[in-house]
Amino acid sequence: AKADSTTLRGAHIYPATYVQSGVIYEKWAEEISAESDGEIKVNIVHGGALLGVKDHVDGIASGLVDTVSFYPIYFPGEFRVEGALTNITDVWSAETASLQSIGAIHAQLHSEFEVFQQEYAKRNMRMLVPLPVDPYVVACAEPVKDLADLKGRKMRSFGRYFPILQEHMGVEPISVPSSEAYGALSSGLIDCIYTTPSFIYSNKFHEVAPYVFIPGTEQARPQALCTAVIAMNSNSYDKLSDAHKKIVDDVSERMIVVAGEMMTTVYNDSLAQLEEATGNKIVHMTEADFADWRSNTPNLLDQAAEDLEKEGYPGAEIITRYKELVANYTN
Amino acid sequence: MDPEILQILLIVLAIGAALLVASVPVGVVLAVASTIGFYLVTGSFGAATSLLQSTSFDVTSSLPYLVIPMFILMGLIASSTGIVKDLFDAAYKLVGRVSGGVAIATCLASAGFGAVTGSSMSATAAMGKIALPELRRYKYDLKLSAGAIAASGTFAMIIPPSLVLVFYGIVAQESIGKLLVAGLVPGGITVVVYSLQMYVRARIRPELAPRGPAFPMREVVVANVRAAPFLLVLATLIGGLLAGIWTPTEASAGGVAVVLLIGVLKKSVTLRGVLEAGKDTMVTTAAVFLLVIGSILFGKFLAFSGVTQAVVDVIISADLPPLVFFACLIVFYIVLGTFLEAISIIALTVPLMLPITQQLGWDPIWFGIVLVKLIEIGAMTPPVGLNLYTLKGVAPDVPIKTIVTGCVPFWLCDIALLFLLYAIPEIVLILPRLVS
Amino acid sequence: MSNRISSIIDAVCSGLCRAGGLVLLASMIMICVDILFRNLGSPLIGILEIVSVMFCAACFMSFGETHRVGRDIRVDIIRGHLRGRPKRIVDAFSAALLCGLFALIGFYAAIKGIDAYRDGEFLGGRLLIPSAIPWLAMALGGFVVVLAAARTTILNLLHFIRPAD
Ligand code: NA
Ligand code: NA
Repeated sequence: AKADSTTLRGAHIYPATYVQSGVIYEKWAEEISAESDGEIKVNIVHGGALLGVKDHVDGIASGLVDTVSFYPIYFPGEFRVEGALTNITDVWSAETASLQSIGAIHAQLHSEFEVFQQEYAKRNMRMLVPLPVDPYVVACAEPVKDLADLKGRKMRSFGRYFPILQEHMGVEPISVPSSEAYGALSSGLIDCIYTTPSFIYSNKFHEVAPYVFIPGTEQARPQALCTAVIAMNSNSYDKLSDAHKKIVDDVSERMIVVAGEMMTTVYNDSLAQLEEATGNKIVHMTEADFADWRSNTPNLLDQAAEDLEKEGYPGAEIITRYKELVANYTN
Repeated sequence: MDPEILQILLIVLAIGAALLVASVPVGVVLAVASTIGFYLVTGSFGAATSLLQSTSFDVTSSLPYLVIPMFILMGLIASSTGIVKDLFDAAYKLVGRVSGGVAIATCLASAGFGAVTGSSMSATAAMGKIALPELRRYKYDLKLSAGAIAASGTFAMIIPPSLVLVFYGIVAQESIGKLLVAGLVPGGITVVVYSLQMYVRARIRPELAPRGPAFPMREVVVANVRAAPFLLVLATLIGGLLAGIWTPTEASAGGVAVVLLIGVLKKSVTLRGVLEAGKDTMVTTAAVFLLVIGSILFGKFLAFSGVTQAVVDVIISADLPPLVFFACLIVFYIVLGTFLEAISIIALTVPLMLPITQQLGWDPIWFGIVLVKLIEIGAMTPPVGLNLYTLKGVAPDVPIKTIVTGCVPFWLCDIALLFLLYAIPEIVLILPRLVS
Repeated sequence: MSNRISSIIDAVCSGLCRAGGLVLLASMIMICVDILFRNLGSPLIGILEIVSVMFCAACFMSFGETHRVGRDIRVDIIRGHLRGRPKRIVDAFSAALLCGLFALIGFYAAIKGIDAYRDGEFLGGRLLIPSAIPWLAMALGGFVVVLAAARTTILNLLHFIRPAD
């Protein structure tokens, strides 16, 4: 072994094939290893075998693992700001940032607002790479040609803000544990799901919900912030030599761009795969429907700002800055 | 594999074995052994103990596990309403003359529960509460009865609905629809083989399953009409599932409501009785869940140690002929199944195994079914079989030795079946091919 | 150990478990209401969020009683043959381990619960259920197991030193 060699332990709650938090995480690990001439190695246990949805914060906070692909979307009550913004799709602004920019915006907000870092610091965590998810779409058991078709259908829902967005599509939000979603679609307990094309394809939901409906006129709009991030235990980071810290930081920064590109590809590829596997054409929302939907739905970004203010966070300031950053990136 | 880690692993296994023999509760054994393991690897007490409370929270707040107490409660209330007794009266009068008849009926009822739930432990718990007292009433051998219940509980994984097959589909990127139908024929064959096995044993040694007298046709018919309520409960649960009225988790709560309703109509339940049943259920549930928590922690430690990966590497690099490789897989998975629950096994091994099985030309759907059967076998293999201990949890007066030895004949049947599936993969693949 | 303390432990274990049974029955009813309303076309959001917290609490309210009535699942091959002092020491040892395990679980859960209460943290979902509820329920349940298991350990050790039988 070399004089300055380190092995970092990592964990991932989903199978290794999940691009957002698995493939990109492995790529990040590989690049760090390559950049350090093999001095840093990252061993990742995938598939929830080591850490699962409910315990991956405890695992990284305690230093049982050194790195993790962490999902703030599942901890809205502990990672308040991120947790809120990852559960919102901005359909109200005239334009939204592309997947490539979402990661950069996420990182920028982190660096500008202390509250983001404090929430991580409280759990001994350091945010390294925001990982955007491909945009949420609708998949149903029966064909959907427009918004009117969705009326009264039962759609799987979760979180604080999604149900509101879904209700204004005209559907009835239903909670079903994700492990039972496939069965619920096949038995007709629910009619539709609202999730990402890559999640639909990798969980085989298209076998029971083969009609994909995009809630947008072209591409579906992405989540306001990244649902997952690559994070590191702060002590593990501090223990690295200065040279190694620089490698981790540099690779992480580069990965923000790479992740955006990969997820854009994943979105397009997954839709193509879904079209091929089901033989059904993907249907987009009409301009008129989209206009109706966004004008009927209360602006959840403003709602989140208000909710955060009530909880003692600078919600208004963050959301204003968020909108500014989005405007910068779309121009 | 790092020799230091291997050393730690051996220490952990030795401590686990010692504690197990010292009669420490199995869940505690697994939790303590894995915590020591985490400590030896990380050198940090905080890191080693960090998962104790989160895993406990994860298990006890996870809705799919709610099926276990609901089914226990349903079994308790159903027994107190008399509908279970009616069911077994009918079975006795109908097939009591057949060697092993009532045990075979139990096996079929388990398959019925398997069509409602994907959790072997919940099916075992329900049948332990429902069928064991009845089999004892008809003086069936305790080993035979316990074996039949613990082994038949495993049908739940292979007969749809099955969370395990769904999870395999996601990890292996195979059609979940095909996997679910692929389980039907092997599941059905297992039911038949188990039944035949019990029939033959009871023929050879009639004292295992005392045969009943012949009953007049009229009495048989009357008894079967009286058994209708219980069959109606099962039919309601399965029907509600297929019709999209409830999910498997909800169905278990629906089942409790249905048997309560029957009890109220028959005026055979009292409020006091229901409250007592609630408490009784929680005592058993807590015992079983401590086991699940320990098992999950231990699985996390094995994943952490990297031992599974190392063993898989050894098996793969040995470049064995297919049949020998298959035999190695059987041993490997049964050993894993001994400690771990199904989801951890799949998450840990399938990504490593799939490429090699595909090189051998094995169909991934076939492999999924074989894997689930192996996991089922693991669940009834000592030292740590989740089904064995679940039955022990609901029937504390039955010695674990009786349950384990009772499972042996079923265990052997399953191994034989595996080789049958190996020789004739079409048994698994015929339905999925018809579907597509 | 005074009989007074001992009978208090008995009452707490048994009472909590009885309450746990009630919570289980209540969650059964809530799930049925959820099923009913969904099938009538007006689904209720969040019932399952409440049920999962109730379920967690019910389990932790029952671990103590399970130990008290001797229903822990264990390999009984050797213990079944033991009598007198060897049995006492084996039982004292396993109860001590159980006690230690739940002391850790309860301690960490209490810390998390107090933290969550102080910071107003909540669980994911629509209802924003305070995370302090399940954590403090776990802490309470863990504490009761510690009491019951400690008693088992102490009584067995006392009998080991001064066998009464
Ligand atoms: Na099943
Ligand atoms: Na086993």
